[in-house]
Amino acid sequence: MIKLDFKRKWANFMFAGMVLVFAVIQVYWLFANDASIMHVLSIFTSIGLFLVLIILAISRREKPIKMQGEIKTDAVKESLPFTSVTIGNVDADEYFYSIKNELDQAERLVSDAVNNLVLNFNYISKLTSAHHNMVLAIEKMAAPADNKPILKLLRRQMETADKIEQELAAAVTSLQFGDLVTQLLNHTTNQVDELNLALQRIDRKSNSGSRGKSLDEIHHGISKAVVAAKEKNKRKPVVQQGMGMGEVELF
Amino acid sequence: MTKTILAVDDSASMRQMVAFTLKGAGYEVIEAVDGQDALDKANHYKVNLVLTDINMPRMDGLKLLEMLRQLADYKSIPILMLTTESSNDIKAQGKAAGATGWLVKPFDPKRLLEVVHKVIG
Repeated sequence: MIKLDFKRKWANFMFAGMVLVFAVIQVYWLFANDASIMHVLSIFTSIGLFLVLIILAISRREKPIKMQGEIKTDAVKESLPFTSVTIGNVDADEYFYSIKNELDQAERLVSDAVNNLVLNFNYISKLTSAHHNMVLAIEKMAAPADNKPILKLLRRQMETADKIEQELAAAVTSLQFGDLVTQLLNHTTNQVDELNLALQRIDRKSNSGSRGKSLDEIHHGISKAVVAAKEKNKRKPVVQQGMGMGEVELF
Repeated sequence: MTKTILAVDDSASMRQMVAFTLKGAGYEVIEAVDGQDALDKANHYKVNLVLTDINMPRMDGLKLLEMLRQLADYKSIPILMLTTESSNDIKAQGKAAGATGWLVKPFDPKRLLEVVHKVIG
């Protein structure tokens, strides 16, 4: 695209130069020979054509061109190798796709970790419960009422079991992080999807127009895409910044 | 007589944490994976309390709340919302639809049990 514009500009200049040379030869011919009305018309046509070509070449110089995600003038682009500026929609799609994949990967990792933690939690919980019952059974069956050291030991065992149960209860609050993180990741994935779709729509619209879009129009289009994506995901499902207990309200 | 609680959440770990807490206190817990599943189960079981999340696939918690309140058996059954959502707008929607209370995640097991005891004894 840049290559084409660059060539077109110089072709305009060269053709304008040739027309000018032709016009000069005709003026010389006019003075050297008898003038005819056709000669005069031909000279004016050549000069007119020359001016049109010059205006075209100049106007092409600073026209902004939208390139996938960035806007540059021809002047800037000419300093770049052609391959670095011929970015297509496919690249943007692939980029959005890779972001989505990474978010999915994060969600899978969190989900896997939570599943394992819950399994461990359930196992520890069952062991604690079994230990608790065992201590109670020993206390009833084996400890003589007057054997103070054994009773003291069993009481300490019981206290330890209670502490483990308290810690497990605290873990119930922390283990809910999986749900919060998953909801947040889903929300982020939806935002990325919406932004991608909105940008694609803007891109399709700008490509379907016959004239090039101005910088302001492109900025406006991107802003519109961001606003549309934000609007569709306005409600953030998770606002918690930590794993402290949430508020409780009875109506 | 053991009281039955319908716990609705699309997150398996959340359902397990809720069930762990409530079963530990002697309640019977029926789990549902979304609003639609909960509605089906609500029609099959006699439930004393519904504890539901909001953001779920197929049918969300607010829709479930509306649907349950239309059923004769659930007009006066307590329905608690257990959700990450805490904005006043959505709370007002829940209240208007007939929610009994609002608990923001993450819940504390002790506090959850206090609320449950308070609403169903």
